[in-house]
Amino acid sequence: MRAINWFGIAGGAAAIILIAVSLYTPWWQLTMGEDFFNVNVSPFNLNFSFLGIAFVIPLILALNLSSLLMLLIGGIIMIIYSFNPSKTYSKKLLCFAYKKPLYAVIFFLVGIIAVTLILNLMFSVNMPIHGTAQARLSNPSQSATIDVAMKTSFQWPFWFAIVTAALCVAARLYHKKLSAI
Amino acid sequence: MDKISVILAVINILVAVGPVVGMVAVHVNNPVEVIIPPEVQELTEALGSFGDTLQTVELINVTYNRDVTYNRDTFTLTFSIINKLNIDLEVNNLEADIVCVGHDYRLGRAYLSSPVNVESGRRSYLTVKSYWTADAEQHIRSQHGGTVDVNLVNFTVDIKGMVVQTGQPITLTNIPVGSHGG
Repeated sequence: MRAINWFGIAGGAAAIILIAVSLYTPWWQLTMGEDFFNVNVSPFNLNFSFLGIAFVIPLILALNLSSLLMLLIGGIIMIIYSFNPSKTYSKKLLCFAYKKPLYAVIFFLVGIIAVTLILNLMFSVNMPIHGTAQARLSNPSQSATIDVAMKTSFQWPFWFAIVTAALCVAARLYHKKLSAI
Repeated sequence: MDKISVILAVINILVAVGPVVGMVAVHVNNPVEVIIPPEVQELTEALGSFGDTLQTVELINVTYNRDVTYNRDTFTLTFSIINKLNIDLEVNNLEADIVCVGHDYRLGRAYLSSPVNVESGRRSYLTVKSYWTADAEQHIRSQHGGTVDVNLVNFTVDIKGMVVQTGQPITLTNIPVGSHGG
């Protein structure tokens, strides 16, 4: 009977599904006020909306496209590997593919933490990575203060990305077992 | 290095660099747009328009009535606001503490009766209502003799969850107690 790496198939399929859902649902979301200012973030799509004006930064769009293609190719190669894990070239395919979702999750988390810290330092607010906070901005010249509620939250595709990364790492570990047979 | 490794390395490089090079090529005439898109200009204008909108909040009318059901004075403040933005705005609340000018005695609090949708580019009216508490009426009668000058302080406007509070009081003069009319 031909050996199949089932973790690899699940991980590759999950990676492709993850890309599809991430285009519509962000991994992380920041909302200020009631849709006053919104940021939707995932490695494949990052967009801002301020008072109804939505915009994307072309450089970030290009990086999003890179991430999307990287994970898509990784997912496809993972599935191809999984059906032929005992071929001589299989380990190269696996090593290329299994790291992609893991890197996506790690770089995404590092990015979110860095952006949150920078914003907190720049605007002297205490914005959490996941939770709610109240920001206060003062305008001494007009003796006015502006209070705005901020809400940040990880969305379900982020947790699905962690599951995908775990499946791909499991595929790598299972490959050792298949090689030993 | 075997053929598979070379192909995978080339894929890695093409996918990592290709989109960025492509995006720079698209914006070759104006490379700054790769980092700062034209929409940022609209954003700056929108922020300015939001500030302008807040500046248009203006008290235009005050009316007083005796509420016979509860036997108390109620008064209605009408504010106007002009939406300078390209989108409709929801004013969730507009409220202020009412204190007497002479003694800084807190007489009550005025609230917006219900949220108001302010259409883009239009003037809308916000109706804020309040009434004297029994203690307030007692204070006005004993200390001011029938009419009172009041300050609206802690004036706050809640627009789409953005709560702006100004320290500038609004003064209303000769507000009667226990009378009709406006």
